[in-house]
Amino acid sequence: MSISLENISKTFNGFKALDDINLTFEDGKLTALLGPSGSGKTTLLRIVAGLELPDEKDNSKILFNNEDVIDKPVRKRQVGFVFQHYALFRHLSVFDNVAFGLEVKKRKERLSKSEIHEQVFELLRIVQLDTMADRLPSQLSGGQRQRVALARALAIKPKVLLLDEPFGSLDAKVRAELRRWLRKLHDDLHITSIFVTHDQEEALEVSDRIIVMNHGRIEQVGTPDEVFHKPATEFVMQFLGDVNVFHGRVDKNQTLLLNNAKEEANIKFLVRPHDFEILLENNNEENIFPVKAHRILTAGVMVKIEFVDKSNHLILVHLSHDSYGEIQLNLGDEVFLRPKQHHFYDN
Amino acid sequence: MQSRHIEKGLYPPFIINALITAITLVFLALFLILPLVVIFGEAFREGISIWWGSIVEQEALSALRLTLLVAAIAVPFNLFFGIVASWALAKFDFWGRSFIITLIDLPFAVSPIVSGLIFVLLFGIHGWMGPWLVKNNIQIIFAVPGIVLATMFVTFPFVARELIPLMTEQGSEEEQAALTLGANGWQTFWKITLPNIKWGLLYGVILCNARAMGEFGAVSVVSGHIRGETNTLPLQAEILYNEYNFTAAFAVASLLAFLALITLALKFFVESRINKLETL
Repeated sequence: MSISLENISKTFNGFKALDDINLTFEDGKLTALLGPSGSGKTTLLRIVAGLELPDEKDNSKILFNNEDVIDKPVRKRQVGFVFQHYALFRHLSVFDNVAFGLEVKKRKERLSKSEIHEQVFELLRIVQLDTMADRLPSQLSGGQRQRVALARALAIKPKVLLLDEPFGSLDAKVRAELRRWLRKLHDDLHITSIFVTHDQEEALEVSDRIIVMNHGRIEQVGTPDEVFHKPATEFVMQFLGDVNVFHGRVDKNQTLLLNNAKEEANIKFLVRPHDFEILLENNNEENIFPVKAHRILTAGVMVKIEFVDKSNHLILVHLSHDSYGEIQLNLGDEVFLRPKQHHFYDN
Repeated sequence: MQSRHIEKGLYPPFIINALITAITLVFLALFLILPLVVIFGEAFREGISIWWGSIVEQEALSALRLTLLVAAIAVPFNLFFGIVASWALAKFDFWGRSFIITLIDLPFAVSPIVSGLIFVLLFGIHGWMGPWLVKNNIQIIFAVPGIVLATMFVTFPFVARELIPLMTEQGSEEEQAALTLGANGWQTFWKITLPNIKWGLLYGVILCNARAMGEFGAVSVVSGHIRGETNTLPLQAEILYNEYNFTAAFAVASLLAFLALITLALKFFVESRINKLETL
C-alpha cells in the first residue's frame, strides 16, 4: 500500500514540529526517516499511525492507497507500530502479547482459539521466539523484546509497518544483527514499511529510500546511493558522515578558488575524509592544500589522519591501510592534499 | 585490604549499630506494641464472655453495622473516582494539572474537624443548603448521609495518591500500543491499564478502608452521636469511655484494633507482591 501525505503540519505550543510536509511512501518499499532529534521524524511517523493529529487545515490529507484516513482513529487504520521502548504489555506472556491484536477483534471477525494459537506460533517462529512463548517481557533481552514487539505488530496483518527508532535502545552488536534481520524480513514479506532513525549508517544499510529531515522540513528524498553520493543540501552532506568544510569563491570565469578567508567566500566547499589524495610534492595544481600531519590513528578499519593547514584548521582524512603503507607518512610531515570528490553549496 | 577499608567507612561501628537498633525497638514497643497489648488486655480483663457481651450489645452491633456500611459506600466510591482522577491526571497533560494534584491532598492537609465543619456549613439547618433540605425533608447532618459524605471526603486521597505516581511512571505507551492493535478504549482499560495498576490500586483501597472505618474527627462533627443510629465504632468507643464503661469501651476498641491488624496483614501481603513484581 502506498501512503501519501499532503500539506501536513504540526505545531506543539508554538513550536513548528512539521512544516507543510508533502510526501509519498512507495508501495512495498522500506523507507527510512532520517534526521537529528527534534527534526520531526517521529512526529511524522505518529501522524501516519494516527497517534498524533496534524494541525487542522482544509487541504491536509493522509492517503492510504488514495483513501483519506485523516479522520480515522488509530485503531481503525490497521497499522503495525513498533515503539522504541517496545511498549510490550508487561503483565502478559509473549504469546498473549502477540495474540492481543487477534483477541480484541469483534466476535464475528475473531478467529477461533486454535486458529489464533496457530497464527501466533507462526509469527513467533518467524521472529525465532517460539520457544519463549510463556515468558514475560521482563524475562527477555532487549533484542528479544523488540522481536516480540515486531511479531505483535505483524499479527494484525497491517497494511503498513511503522517503526520508531526500533533499534535505538539496543547495544551495537544486537543492533547490527537485528538490522540485517529486519531487511531480510522485509524482503520476505514486502510490506510497506517506514522506520525512524537518527543513525545514518542504519538508514543507508537497511532502507530502499531515505527521507532526510531537519527542522520539520524535508531536506532530500532519494535512494541511499543518491543521498550519500549526491547530497542535495549541505545539511544532508554533513548529516550523512564526516565532512571537511572549506570556504571559497567561484569567480566570473566559473573557476573555483579556495582560500580560507570567510569574508570573501561565497561558497562552501565540502569534502569527505576519504575523498582526498595525499601528494608528497606540490605539482602546481590549483586548489591543493599544503598541510602538516598532526595526529595519526591506525587502530581501526581505516587509518584516520588529522592534518592542520597553515591557518591551523583541522582537516580529517581517511585512508586505507594499504595506501597509508605506500606513502609512509610520519607525524609532522608536510604534504599536500588534493580533493578527488567534492560538493559545494552557496554560502 | 582496600575493600575492608571501604566497608569500615560505609558501615557504622557495632556499638552505634546496636544503639540505633535498640532505640528503634524500644520506641516501637512503647508506642505501638504496648498500646495494642493494653487495648486487648483491658478488653479481656473481665473475661471473654463479658467481652463478647459488650460486642453483641445492641448499640455496639449497630455501630459496627454503620461502620461497615460507611466503608462499603465510601471505599467503592473512592476506588472509582480515584481511578478516574489518576487516569486523567497521569495520562494527560493539561493546564492546571499540578494544581489539581495538589488539591487532591486537601483532605490530608486540613484537620478532620474542619472537614466535618465544612459539611455542617453546607448541609446543616443553618447551612447554605439547609432551608432547601428542610423543605424537601432531607436530612444529611446528624444522619447517615453526612457520615458517609465526611468519610468519603477524608479518605479520597488514598487511592489517587497511590495511583498517580504509578500511572505517570508507566506512561501511556502500552495503551497506545493496544490502540494500534485495534483495541477500543474499554478493552484497553480492562486488559492493559487495570492489570498494570491492580496491586497499587489494592494497596490504596486497603489504606482507604482502614481510614474509612477508623475516622473519628470529621465523623464526630457530623454524626450527632445518636446512640444506635449515628454512632460508628470509634464514636461508640469514645462514648463508652466517657461514661467510665471501660471494659465495653476497650471491647469496641479491640474490634477496631482487630480490623486494623487484618488491614496490616493484607497490606503486608500486597506490598511483598508489589516488591516481587518490581524485582522481576
